[in-house]
Amino acid sequence: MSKKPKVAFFDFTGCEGCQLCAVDLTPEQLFDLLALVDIVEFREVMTDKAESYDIAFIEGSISRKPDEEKIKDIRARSKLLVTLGACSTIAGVNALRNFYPDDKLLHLVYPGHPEIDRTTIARGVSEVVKVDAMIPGCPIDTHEFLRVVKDLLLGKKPEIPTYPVCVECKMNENTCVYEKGIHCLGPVIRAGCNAICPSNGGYCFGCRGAIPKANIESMKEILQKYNLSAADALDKFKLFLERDKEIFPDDKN
Amino acid sequence: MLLKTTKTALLKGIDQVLSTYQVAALTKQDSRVLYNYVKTSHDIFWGCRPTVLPPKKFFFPPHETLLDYTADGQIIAKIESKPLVLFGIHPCDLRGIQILDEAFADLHGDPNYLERREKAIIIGLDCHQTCDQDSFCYKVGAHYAKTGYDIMLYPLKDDQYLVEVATDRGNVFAEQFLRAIKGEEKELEEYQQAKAKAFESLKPFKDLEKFPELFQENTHHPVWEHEGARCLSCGSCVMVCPTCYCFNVTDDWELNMRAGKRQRHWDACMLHDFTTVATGENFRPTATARLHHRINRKFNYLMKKHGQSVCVGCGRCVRACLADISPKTIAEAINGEDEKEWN
Repeated sequence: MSKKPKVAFFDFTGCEGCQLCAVDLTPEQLFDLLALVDIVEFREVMTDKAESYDIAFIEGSISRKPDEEKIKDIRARSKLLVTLGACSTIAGVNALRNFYPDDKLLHLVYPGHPEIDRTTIARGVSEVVKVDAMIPGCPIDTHEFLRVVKDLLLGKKPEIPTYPVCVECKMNENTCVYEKGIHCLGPVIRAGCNAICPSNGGYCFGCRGAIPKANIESMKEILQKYNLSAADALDKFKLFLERDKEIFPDDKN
Repeated sequence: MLLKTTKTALLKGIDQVLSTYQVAALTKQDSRVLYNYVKTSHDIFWGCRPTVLPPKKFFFPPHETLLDYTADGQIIAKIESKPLVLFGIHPCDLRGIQILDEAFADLHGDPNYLERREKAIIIGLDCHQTCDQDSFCYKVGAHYAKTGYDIMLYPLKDDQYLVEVATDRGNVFAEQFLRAIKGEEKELEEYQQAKAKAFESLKPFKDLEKFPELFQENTHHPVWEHEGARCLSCGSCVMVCPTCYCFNVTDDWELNMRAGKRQRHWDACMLHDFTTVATGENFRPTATARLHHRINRKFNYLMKKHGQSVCVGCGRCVRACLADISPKTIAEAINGEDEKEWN
């Protein structure tokens, strides 16, 4: 029997893109990874199952009643449980559904099928079970995934930046998105993506979640200063940050 | 030694020096103007435009590998350095480099910084006006470069330049690569008089030399809370500062776990976790406390150490701050220059 740590991947409500990112490796990296761990369960690539896991990576948000039972069961059988991507970390784009009342939502998505009533609000995994580490992002960054794996194997607490995207934007010497008259969530969103969107002509969508103690009040003043629409800004925050109670304090559910 | 040359001769000199040195200068990329390596002298952006990052990145890059190590105990220290000519550096940034030279030479010295610095020839380019409304070099006297350069260029009319050769290194460069004639001291005097006139109405901070005491006494001045309340703790100000030099060091194992790299990355006191310690306590948990610390580093703690303002007034942090927080506003509140009622 191999003594290598047993690793498993599970998916809930999500697009499965983060699982693909986790194995988007060079052949050399793949063999190095497989020399370190045994992948014992991973629906995307194999049919095997296992009874317990050293590390369980969870993709997707918890958005149905049966999901709750399933994630609790995985948690009970895992030594470490790690979220993989925005959906499992902060509920991701799935949480957009939380802005709608259930009946309206069902009618919108499944018109004429009122009997379909299986979804709950979309939640991040940590709202249901204890999470030991997180890998944020939509999708995840493969390098960050590998770094977290290595840290966990070495018994280190994985370090995910607590500073915002601006730090990386400045290191990349980007012209500030605000100077182009465009609203960007970068100042309050967790870095670690190397400011990939602002560095490539875009703006920060907030997929990695808000930094701890984000100064949302100051952000509002800044929007006014740059003559940017507050409604527009709110829409941007809605895309990934519904579960952030600092930003959307009213529990609509 | 004072020489006189032309823009054409300078460009030619740069093209010649490119065979033995890397040359970095202001360049235009897309809509951005930034310091970068050039392939020919034509790549140089010939003008004065504020950049996001100061030229310190050539000596102290945002990320660098300090050493390679292996699981069986081999450790190889690494310094990536090449001979470099840094061309067209303005007085505020020369002042910044001078302060970093002192900081990185302090105590045991920082071999990585010092080796890169040792291999560099710095050619300054004087300014006879401020670059925009955000710069306040004149408030701290940084519109004049004291040291930190090997050669200083003073622009005259008709694309002519006075060339002040300040060091032996500068002399070697001038002799080898620059076609020039002897410069007249009188021309430099005239240049300096014209510059002094241009800056006549732009006064330094009131009581600048007393800043360390003034800042020490004004820890509880309302300006701190007033400005700190708006701070996003985004770290932009400290990332772009020419005199900030804090860093973090991480060990990054390769995936095969047989070898790894010890790396250092810029870190900064305005970021929330900078002062978080192993037990979880954070000594500066509020943005106001962090802002107070950052500005005191410039006008108090390090000013005492370096004998001059460690803020060089380049204005980069002001341009980078979405919340409009400026060291100038704070200093003018602390020294009473703004005559504003803060209480």
